[in-house]
Amino acid sequence: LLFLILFVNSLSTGIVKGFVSDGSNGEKLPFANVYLKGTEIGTSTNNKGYYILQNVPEGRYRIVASYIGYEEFEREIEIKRGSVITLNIELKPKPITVKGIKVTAQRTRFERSVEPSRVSFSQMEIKSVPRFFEADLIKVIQLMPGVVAMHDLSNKLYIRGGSPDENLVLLDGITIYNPSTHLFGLFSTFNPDAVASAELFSGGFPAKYGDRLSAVLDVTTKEGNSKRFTGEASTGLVTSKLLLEGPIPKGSFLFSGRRTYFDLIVWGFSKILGIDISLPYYFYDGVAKVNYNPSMDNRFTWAGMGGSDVISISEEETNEKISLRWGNQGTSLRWRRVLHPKLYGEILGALSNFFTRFSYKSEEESASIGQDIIDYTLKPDFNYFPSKYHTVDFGFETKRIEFSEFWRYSGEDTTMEENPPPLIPYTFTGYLQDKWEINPILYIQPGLRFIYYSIGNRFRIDPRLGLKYHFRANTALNFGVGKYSQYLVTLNSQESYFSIFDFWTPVDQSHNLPTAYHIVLGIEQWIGEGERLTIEGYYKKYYDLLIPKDNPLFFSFPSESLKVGDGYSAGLDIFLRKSYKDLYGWISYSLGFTKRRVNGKTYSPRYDRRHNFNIVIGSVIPERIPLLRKAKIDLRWYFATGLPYAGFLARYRRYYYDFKEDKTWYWWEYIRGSRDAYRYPPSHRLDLHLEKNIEIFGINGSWYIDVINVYAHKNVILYDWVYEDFQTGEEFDPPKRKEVSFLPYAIPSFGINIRF
Amino acid sequence: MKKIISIALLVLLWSCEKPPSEEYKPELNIFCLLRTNAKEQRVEVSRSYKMDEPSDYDLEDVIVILSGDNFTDTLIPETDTPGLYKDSVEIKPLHTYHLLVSAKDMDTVRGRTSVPGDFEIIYPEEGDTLSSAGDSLVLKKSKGARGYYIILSIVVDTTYSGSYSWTESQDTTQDSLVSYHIPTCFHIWESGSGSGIIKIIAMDTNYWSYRHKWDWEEEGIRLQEGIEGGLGVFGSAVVDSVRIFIKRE
Repeated sequence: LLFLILFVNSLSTGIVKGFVSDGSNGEKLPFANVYLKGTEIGTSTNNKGYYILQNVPEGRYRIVASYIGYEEFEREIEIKRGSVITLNIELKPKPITVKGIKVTAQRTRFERSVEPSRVSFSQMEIKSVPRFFEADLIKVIQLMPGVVAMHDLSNKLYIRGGSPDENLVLLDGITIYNPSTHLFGLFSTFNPDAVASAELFSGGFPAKYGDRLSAVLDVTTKEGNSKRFTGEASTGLVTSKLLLEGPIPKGSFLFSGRRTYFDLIVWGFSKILGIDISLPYYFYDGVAKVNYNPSMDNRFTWAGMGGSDVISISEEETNEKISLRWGNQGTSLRWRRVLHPKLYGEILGALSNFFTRFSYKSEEESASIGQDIIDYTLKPDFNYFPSKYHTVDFGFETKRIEFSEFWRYSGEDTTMEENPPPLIPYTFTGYLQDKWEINPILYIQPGLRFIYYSIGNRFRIDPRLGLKYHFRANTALNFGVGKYSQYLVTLNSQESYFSIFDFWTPVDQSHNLPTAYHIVLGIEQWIGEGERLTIEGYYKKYYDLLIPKDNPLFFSFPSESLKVGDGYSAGLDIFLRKSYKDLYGWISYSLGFTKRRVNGKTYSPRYDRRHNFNIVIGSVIPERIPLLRKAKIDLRWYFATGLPYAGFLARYRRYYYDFKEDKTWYWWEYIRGSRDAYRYPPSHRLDLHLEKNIEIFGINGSWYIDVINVYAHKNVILYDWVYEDFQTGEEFDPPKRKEVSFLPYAIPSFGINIRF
Repeated sequence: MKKIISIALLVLLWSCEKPPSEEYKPELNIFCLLRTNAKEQRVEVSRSYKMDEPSDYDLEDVIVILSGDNFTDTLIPETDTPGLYKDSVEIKPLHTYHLLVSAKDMDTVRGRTSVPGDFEIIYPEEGDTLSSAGDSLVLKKSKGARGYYIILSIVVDTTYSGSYSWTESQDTTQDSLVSYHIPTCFHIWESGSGSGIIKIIAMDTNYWSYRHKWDWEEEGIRLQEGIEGGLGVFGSAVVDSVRIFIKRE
């Protein structure tokens, strides 16, 4: 019936549809502008590069497609009654601009999208920000308004008062449960070479997204160059990377991998010098992708991703081996199809696993312990374009999430093991949202998200509403409101400075599903191509939050490890993206208030930062400066007010009786004030990134230098009370308060890339 | 522009916070573990100190009173060890004792403990040889003990000059006997062979809780077990021991 209606509707006019892609590599271009010259008929591509112009009267037109950084496409077409023209458009990139950065904000998106609290980044932006050894997506997102980093090395995202476990992180539609696991949490699992773009929704996100209370990070990897074989190899102080992409018959492929290599260097030295040294740690990750297009309207994409951190210690003398591994792995198959000119659909089947393994083995005994989160997802999504005033998105998602754990011990005489039955919640969610262009200045997007959660047979409906009102030509009002539910929580504290990974668990029958309500109101100012100013206020109210206790049990007893609370967060975010002559960059400022209430006590969690200011500026060094001419320089500076902490009010002796020696001894115990009574001093830091393109023997490449904490400012992350100077032996009574900083020095790093 | 700057300043002013001020009054800090079979009982008396104060034993007019069924003793300060008070009273199982500590300008501390009942080491008996390959320690449990603290001291060792290991166990069963698998609880494979002493301490609830309370909580802990009006613990324990020989296999 749907297709019949669509068919009858299309008889009186014509339709033009197709994809807009980058002519140099075949990558689809989302939100490109497509219109018929001299008419008011126009649209933009969806996030997969698909467009449709419908209800086009019979006649001859000139179709135009444009996208920032690309040459404009223009061609004549003829529309007949009832005709459907498929026109796939390839845009040629313009020669490299002085700015050197391809910004992703575009006029069409400003005009037509209803997406409050959204920021997007391209790969070049991710790579341009000064880096702590490695370019890292999460570190870039920490520079966005509303996002708090707890300290200089943090790789967690505290977004608008939400803890990291309240963020939905997607990699090509696959849920990533632990996105920051590399090098004990210092680096994320997203290899920047493989990332095409990333979008952050810091609040008020539409019905298409759900399952988390606070924010969404949607990361898309590159499609793979369908025009020619290309590659990039790079090496830095931490990892070496390789990216290969190219065409295959009717499609393309991409492979990207990286690995730390210091363990190999140390191993090589130990062999050459004949000394017994080793570095028992490394990490690696990789992404592979194959696209196959059997016809113009069909595309199959297989993707695989995997990565792991490994600590492996062997003692040859005692024949003992200790191994600890953790990581993400996943695979997906996606089928995209233009089912009808007005109906674009795709179906995704994905399997992902986050695993941890610890094992010990000696001649006498062995022990192992492990946990897995295995996520099976089936997810059809559709875009339906019933008229030029409506874009309806709907879809479903079925998930089976398996939480399993085990331990085994095997000694000379005994073998013990425990494999408790896995916890397996099922979810079935559906969403329906309609972007309705009421008139050229007012867009609304109502939506509903339906959730069924198998533990406790719970059913929920989360309504959402987005609105955009262009009250001036270049100024729009953004509004978003919605209800959000979450059915997975973590058992480890989200307020700790470091955690390698989170221990997830499904909400059990004894607890209500945590719920949040968002309201967002802001102004968006279009300044120019790729330039905009947004000012947004938000309020977020939480109910039935499940917060880990201070000494949680990670295995089997989630109910006993969680306490129930509520809270709110409120604030104001300002974001300005601007170019000025040869300068480009952005400024973000956030004012935030976050409170939690547990057992009747209200407090500010440790990530409640009041003011957060970031500035990123980039430019190209003028030609008159030797050696560095045309090199790209990027600077980042931040200033942030201090985080709350529980200060020590007093100390007292904690005695113990030694039954063997028949005497007492003591150490100092402390009485703390309330957990948010004090705040650390403000922190600030300047980082620098310098990159210059080079050509050696016909091979293009670049070198780069980064310096983190250029002026070596010590940002205080905690106070340590010192009773003795370990160097001089001098004792202090009263003890001295010593400031502890993670980055007390300027940290330089460098690397090279080659492209072929 | 003036409007924008004014609004920005207003926002900044609104978001400024009052500097924290938390008052804390120092409290008496008591440590007293009454032990059966002990020649003397000790009470450590000090106080808590603000972080910028030196930790001197500066209490004045300290009075320490220990009382039981038939006695009330005012304890004598040890001249060589500031803050230490002693009494030679004999502590009996299943009896209740009270403690009172006062000092000038400090709140008075009152404590109470009920000594656990006697227990019996069923196995090993004095002079028995235990096997590191697998043996058991069997107790007839103490009435009223919250848990046991067991120490193995190997005095003469064929491979080590001396070793010491221990285990702790909370009493959660209704059984009258409790048994410990010896290699598991003492890691004997690391201790070697030799003659030794197993010392067993049955702890009351106050001292057990004191030993097992840790600073997990965000707001820290206040150790206050068996006492009111201050910090510390007033607990009791029954102690017994047996000499054995460990044979490593």
